Amino acid sequence: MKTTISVKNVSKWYGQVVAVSDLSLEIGPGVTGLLGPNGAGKTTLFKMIAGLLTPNQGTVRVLGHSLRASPQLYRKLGFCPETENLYDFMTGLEFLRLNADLHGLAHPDEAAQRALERVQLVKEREKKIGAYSRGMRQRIKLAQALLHDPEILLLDEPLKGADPTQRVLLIEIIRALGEQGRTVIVSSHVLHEVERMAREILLIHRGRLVASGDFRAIREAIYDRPHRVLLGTSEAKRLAALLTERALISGVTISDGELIVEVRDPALFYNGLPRLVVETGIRVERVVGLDEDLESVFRYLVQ
Amino acid sequence: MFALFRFSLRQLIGRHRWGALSFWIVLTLLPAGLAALGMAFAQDGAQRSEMNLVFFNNVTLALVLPVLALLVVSSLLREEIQNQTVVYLYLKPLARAGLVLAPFASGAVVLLLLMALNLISVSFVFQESHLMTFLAVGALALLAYAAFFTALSLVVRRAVLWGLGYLLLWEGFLANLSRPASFLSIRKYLLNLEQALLGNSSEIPLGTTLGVLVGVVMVSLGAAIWRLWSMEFVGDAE
Repeated sequence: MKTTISVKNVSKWYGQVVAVSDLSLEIGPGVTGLLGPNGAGKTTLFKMIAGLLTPNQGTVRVLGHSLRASPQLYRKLGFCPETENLYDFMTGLEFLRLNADLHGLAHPDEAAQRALERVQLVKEREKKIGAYSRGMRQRIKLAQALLHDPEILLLDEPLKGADPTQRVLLIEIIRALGEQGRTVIVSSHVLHEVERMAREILLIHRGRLVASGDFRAIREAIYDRPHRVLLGTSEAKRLAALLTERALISGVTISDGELIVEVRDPALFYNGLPRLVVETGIRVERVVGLDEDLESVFRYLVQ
Repeated sequence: MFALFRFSLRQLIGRHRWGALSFWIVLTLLPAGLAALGMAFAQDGAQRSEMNLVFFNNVTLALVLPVLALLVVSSLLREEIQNQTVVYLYLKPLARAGLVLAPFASGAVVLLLLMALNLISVSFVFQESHLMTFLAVGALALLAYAAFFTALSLVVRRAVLWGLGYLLLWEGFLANLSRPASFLSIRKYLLNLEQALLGNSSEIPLGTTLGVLVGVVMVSLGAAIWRLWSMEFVGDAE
């Protein structure tokens, strides 16, 4: 695989807070998903790759160079930042035209028009950005990143704030960019969104790389972890015994008439529980997954 | 680079800036109003001539021009950095020096226009003829203060407060109390330049004065470019 972005033993801290810790990775063409909960260090990593931040330790190279030392390389990089702040006094067209001029493009008007068409904002091109919806702001940010046809794209939470229809459009655009052989890194804290765009996934948590590789392998690792489920019932002891007997759970705790069970195979458990309830007549009032949020997934992977 | 200059100019004086722009114009024309008030009490022509110079030194040069320079330049790059839109300029294949010099040039153009408006309006009230000298001193004053405050706005977060602190405490107070401190004041060299241009004896040779003022501009802009080049754009995402 041709490496376009190389991150070697990179650490970044702000005072006492470690944002990225001894991170190493190599990224090549195609779409790579950068997945992690809020505060995981995704934005810091993007900013270091883009040359907006310098690592305290380690090196970041884009096409073999440090962007901070080689601003000419920005011709090959498109960056869609997470921040929603834009030049609200400009129209979408003016904003893209400005970006095209600053990139020194030979035909800035044509480039702006193409980018507007790509993100389907042609109708809104004369509207002030200040009047744009969140989804439209995301699209104009993506348009400015695509404007100069870059080889590498860094997209920080590009789907944030977009409605379902706009998400479909943005996902299609990102997938197409990867298929064209560009290096695209797209961040999100929602696994299923990244799955739809990215072939490779990087999972980071608390500034560390937790897992990397094909998204299917990572998803299996995530789904293989023990799940804790809270069951509200008036017959806790009987239900615990039956669940253990049928091997639906691998561990159990009874507290205040509620069961907290540890489940190895969620599919088996969620299929078996209703059958058991019907067969035995045990009344189950509540079924609550205790660690199905992304944060707990990452905690598990870190362990 | 011209695109960035044009954009910075629009950022400064576009329609969306009418509030700030109105305030700058009021500040620019305020001395003419005060001058008209002073003229009502002036006795004769000699007193008017003296008043003109005193007025230029103590109102225009000491307060109006540096405060205008501070307000104008601190609304350029510092605002971009604070609201993180600077990434749209920084991540472009442009010389890093240009990212500072183009906004600085647009600020200088606006400031020179405001200064011309100020000096012409005051001169009209006094009906005195030091206008060319005042224009020359005022132009150098604006360039020096604008460069100095551009660097300041990239070094500290609350550049307007720090800038006002410098103007009021250092130039307005300490430099008047202590002779060594006055040599570290931009205003000292501007007053010296004015005296030299008016044909009066001056404490510091004209060449040294010009050298110091040009040096302030060059060193400040150099520091601003270095600061932007080495800046960490942390933002508030993490």
